[in-house]
This record gives sequence, C-alpha cells and structure tokens, in this order.
Amino acid sequence: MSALLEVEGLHVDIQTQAGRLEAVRGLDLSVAPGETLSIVGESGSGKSLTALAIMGLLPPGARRKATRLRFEAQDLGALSRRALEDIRGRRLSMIFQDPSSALNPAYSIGSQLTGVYRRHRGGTAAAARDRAVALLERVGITAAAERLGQFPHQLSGGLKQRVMIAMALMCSPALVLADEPTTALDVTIQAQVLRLLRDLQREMQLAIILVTHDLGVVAAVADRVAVMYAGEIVESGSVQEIFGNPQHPYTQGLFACLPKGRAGRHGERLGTIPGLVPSLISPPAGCAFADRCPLVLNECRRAPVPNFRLSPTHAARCLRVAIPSVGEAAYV
Amino acid sequence: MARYVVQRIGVALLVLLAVSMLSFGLLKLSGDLATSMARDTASAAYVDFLRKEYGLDQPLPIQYLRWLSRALVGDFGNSFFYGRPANQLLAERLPVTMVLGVVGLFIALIFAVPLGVVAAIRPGGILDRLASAIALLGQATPTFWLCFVMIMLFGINLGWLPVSGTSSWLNFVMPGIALAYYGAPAFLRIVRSGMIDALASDYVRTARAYGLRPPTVLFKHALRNVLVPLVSVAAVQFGFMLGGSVVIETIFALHGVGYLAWEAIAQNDYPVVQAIVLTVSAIYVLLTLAADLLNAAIDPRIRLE
Ligand SMILES: Nc1ncnc2c1ncn2[C@@H]1O[C@H](COP(=O)(O)OP(=O)(O)O)[C@@H](O)[C@H]1O
Ligand SMILES: [Mg+2]
Repeated sequence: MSALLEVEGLHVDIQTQAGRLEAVRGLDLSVAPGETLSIVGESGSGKSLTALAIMGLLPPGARRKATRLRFEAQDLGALSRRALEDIRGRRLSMIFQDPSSALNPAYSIGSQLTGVYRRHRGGTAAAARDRAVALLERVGITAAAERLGQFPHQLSGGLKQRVMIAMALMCSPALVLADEPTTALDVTIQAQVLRLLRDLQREMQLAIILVTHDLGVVAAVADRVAVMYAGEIVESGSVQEIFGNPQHPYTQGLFACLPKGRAGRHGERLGTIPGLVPSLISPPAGCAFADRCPLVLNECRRAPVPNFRLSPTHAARCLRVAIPSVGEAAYV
Repeated sequence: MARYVVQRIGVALLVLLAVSMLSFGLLKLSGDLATSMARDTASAAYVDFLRKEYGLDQPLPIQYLRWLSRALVGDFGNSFFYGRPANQLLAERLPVTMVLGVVGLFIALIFAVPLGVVAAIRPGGILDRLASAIALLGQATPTFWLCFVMIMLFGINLGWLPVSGTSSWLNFVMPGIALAYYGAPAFLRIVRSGMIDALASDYVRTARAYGLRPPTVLFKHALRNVLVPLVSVAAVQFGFMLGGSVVIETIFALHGVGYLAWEAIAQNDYPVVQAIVLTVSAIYVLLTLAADLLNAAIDPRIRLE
C-alpha cells in the first residue's frame, strides 16, 4: 500500500539563548492509511517538534528542513500557505496534549466545532451543527445538543479532550497527529480516551501518529512503534517486534526500567535510564546514547551509526545489531 | 451572573459612599463655609446667622447626613459666583464634556486597536517599531502643543475647522483628536501585549492547526481574548480623558465640565467644585461598573461563574 505520509531526512533546528539546538536530526518515517504509528521517547527527545514540523506549526525560532515531506501525494514543503491551510483540519489534523489550553476560552464548544467544519465544508449553520452533535455523540458525550452552548471551562478535562478529538475529526481527516493526548488526564479517563481513539480509527479508517512517553499507551493502540532518542529514531518496528524483541539498548533499557512483568500494562511511564541526554546544541558525532549505553564500543562514538534492518519492518540504529555475537544488553 | 452583578453594584455603592465622605471631609478642611459665603464685608452676626441657617453648628455626622441626602437628589446649593444652582450649571456643561470624551475615546480606539494588532503580529518588526515610535511620540508631545499645531494648520491656514465654541460637530474634531492623542498610547500598549500573548497561546495554535484563515485566527480567536483587559483599561482611560479635557476645553473654549471646574476652583466656588467632584467620581464609578458588566458579557468565565 502506498504511504499516506512520507517523511525523510527531517531536521528541526531551534534558536535558543545557548545556541542553535538540533532538536530533530534526520528523521524518517512513513504512515500507511488506517494505521497507528506510535512515536515513543523520553520528554525532550523531539516528539512534539516532529509533529509540529509535519503540521507546519513550529514555534517562532524553529526551522524545518526535509528531503521529503509528502502527504497524500503532495509535497507539504512546496505548498503555499493557503493550500496548506486547506489541508490542515480537513485531511491532516492534530490533537494537543492539554485540552484546557488548546480550546479557546471565549467561545462555546459548538462555535469552535462548527467553525472548523464551515471553514472547510461551507454549508449551512444547521448542517455544521448536526455534524457537531453527531461527532460529540460519537466521542461519547451525552446530551450533545445541549453541550454545544457550553464553554471549555464548564467541562472536565476528559470531556474537553473528547471535544478536541471531535474537532479534529469534524472533516473526516485521513491522518491525525495526537501529541500525548492522554497525558493531562486522570489515569481512569486515559484508558477510556485511548479506547475511543482506537475505535474511531477502525471506524473511520483513520491513520494516527500517536506521540507518547507512555509504553502502556503504545501497547494499547499502536500498530507500529518508532522509538525516539535525542532527535533521532533509534529503533522502529511492529508492536510485536519492539515489545517482543527490542534490539537497541535504549529500547531495552526502557523495558528494563519498568517493574518486572508489567511492561505494556496501561499507565506505565518510561523508566529512568542512568545518565544524561547529550546536549543537542552540539550533538555527538556518533551514537547519542553512547554515554549511557552499557554495551558501548569505541566505534559507536566515531561516526553516525547507520540504521540496520532486521526484518522488512524492524530496524535499529545500533552497531551491536551488526555484531550479533555480543548478545543482548546487560539490562535484561 | 446575578450574584456577580449584585456584587459589582455593591462595590460601586461602597466606593461612592467613600468618595462622598472624602468629598465632605475636603469641604470641611477647606475652611469655614459660613465665612467664605458671607464675603469679607459681612458682620459677625450675619456669619452666625449663615452658620445656623446652613446647619453648620450641628455635629459633623448630622451635617454629613444632611449634606449627603441633599447631594443624593442633586442639590449642591447655589453657585457663589453665578448665584444659580450648581447642579444646573453642571447639567448644562456635562453634555459637552461627554461628547468630547466619547469622540476622543472613539478616535483613540479606531487608531490604537488595529495598530496594536499589526504590531503584535511580528514583535520587534518594522510595524511594531513604528507603532511604539508613534506611542512614544504621543506621550512625549504635550497636548497643548498638538492643539496649537492643529489650530494653526486646520483652523487658520487651511480654514477647514472652527477653532472655538460648540456650535457644530466640527467643533469637536480637533479637541477629539487631541484627547485621543492623549489616550491612545495606553490602548496601543494593552492591545499589543494582549495580542502577543494570545498569538503565542495554545488555542491560537489549535485554530491554525485546523486550517482557519489568518484573519479569523487574528480577529476572532486572538483579539476576542484581548477585549476584557481592553474594556477595563478603556473605562479607566475614559476617566483620565475626562480629566485631561480641562486643558483641551480651555484651549478650544469648549464650555464643558473641565472649563467649569477650572473657573470654580479659581473662584473658591465650593458648591460647584463639590458638584463636579461628586458627579465626576460617580461617572468614574459607573464607568468601572459598566466595564465589569461588559466584561461579564464578553467573557463566559466571568458570566457563568
Ligand atoms: N519553543 C522552544 N524553544 C526552545 N527550545 C524548545 C522549544 N520547543 C522545544 N524545545 C526543545 O527542543 C527539544 C525537543 O522538544 P520537544 O519536541 O517538545 O520534546 P518532546 O515532545 O519529545 O518532549 C527539547 O530539548 C526542548 O527543550
Ligand atoms: Mg512533547
């Protein structure tokens, strides 16, 4: 199947007081129609900037470069501002981490939902309203018609995130980027919202890029996983490959740091691997994980480590993969 | 909402009460009223008579209550100078000042809001620097100087606008511009900083993520959230502008409250001064109340508390 989204060689630089930070360094990914790709990694690894770069919503001071950035056979980098606006919210949409700040406090949720719909689809106010009610009901909001007049501050966090999901789906997009959609919610609500996302995805043949630092979330909804570290994807594969046969010492470390036997259960945050993430203002020449890696070789620090293919779907950016005799990482 | 309104009105009444006490206190501190009413030539017996007649021999709280009950129905006594009721004088002059204030406020907002919005689009950019230069110039130039320049240019050289009096709406153009010039920098600043915050907010990013067009993002999603502070500043600024209109009214011979106040103070015309102080304070308090209520209408978080 041809890919819905193809990203190759994505770089994001961001200007900070301390210098130019290379937050995303040569990232490749692709998403097929209807699949869920989960990007997982510690906070600060560049997940949000990756999502925002795809949307063309980088904050001031940040710059995007990519050798390939195609969505539905269009080059996102070459589109005019207006053409990009026509795609955003209609074919390509986004759900943000904190629904409390992502909804406009001054407008009712009905006004915000119908505003998106009428922007792209036109039509009457009544049609937009019907669509809003239908979607609110679909995301599990009761008394949807009455809720349209309510304002964000009158809703709980879970309800607000459901409204955000409804808003992202108003125009039936092909791909939704969800940046930690459950991080701001209570644990019990998190599971409900995830189940909702998964159900909606099946129903609407939606592709999702789910950004998270929560392995439980990954296990619950993802088809494929990309593990991100210091601005790079260090390992990618199907959920089975990543959970059953992790190859990069960083991925292995993530699982080892979870309480034994509970990996993949919902609500598990990434554990802490000893050591510090290197500064991305002048990133290391070789593997960025070398300083924290129990299996480090001299070669690791010398030059950029290539991505080694383990199966048609599984790849890891680690020299140990190419030298299998050394065996598994000491974490396990 | 009802609770909020009642609460705001209660606060407004308390402020008015405090203002009335202060005003009464100032009147007492300003010396013996009977003596000033009687003028220098009067006999001591006549002064005593006046003192009794006006109840000035009573204990202070009684005097205050009497004074207050009269003030509440607008009775501030006769002007020493004009010999007519102070409230009549005020009622004649108030419309002129209000018209001037409203014209000035309107011009200031028309000018400052769009400028603040474009300045905020690119902080530190050319438009932003231009806007702050204009604001700085507005604050650094004395109002009277601007008035004279306008009078010379539009009034005398070009002859487009009348330079004094209140005979037509044209009389309010130059004073209105002068007053706006005085009031606009505060609006410019609040709109600019509010818009910078709003444009960096998550909800504006959301609006952009859903493909809304820049004018919608700017004017619907961002500017709406700047209205609440703008309305609050406008209420306060309108009060300042009423105060600032003294100079402008004098230059353009607009017979408004500012001009009356200037005359009354110069002539120790206490009843008129009192009437002006209390009325202007009441207007000020009402403006603040109106701003609070307007903000409740604008912001659902206030309205639906
Ligand atoms: N607006 C910004 N200004 C400066 N640095 C930023 C900004 N946004 C992100 N960064 C930096 O870029 C790196 C990646 O950030 P981000 O993509 O938000 O990480 P993640 O989403 O994985 O937690 C971090 O080191 C972060 O500090
Ligand atoms: Mg993030």
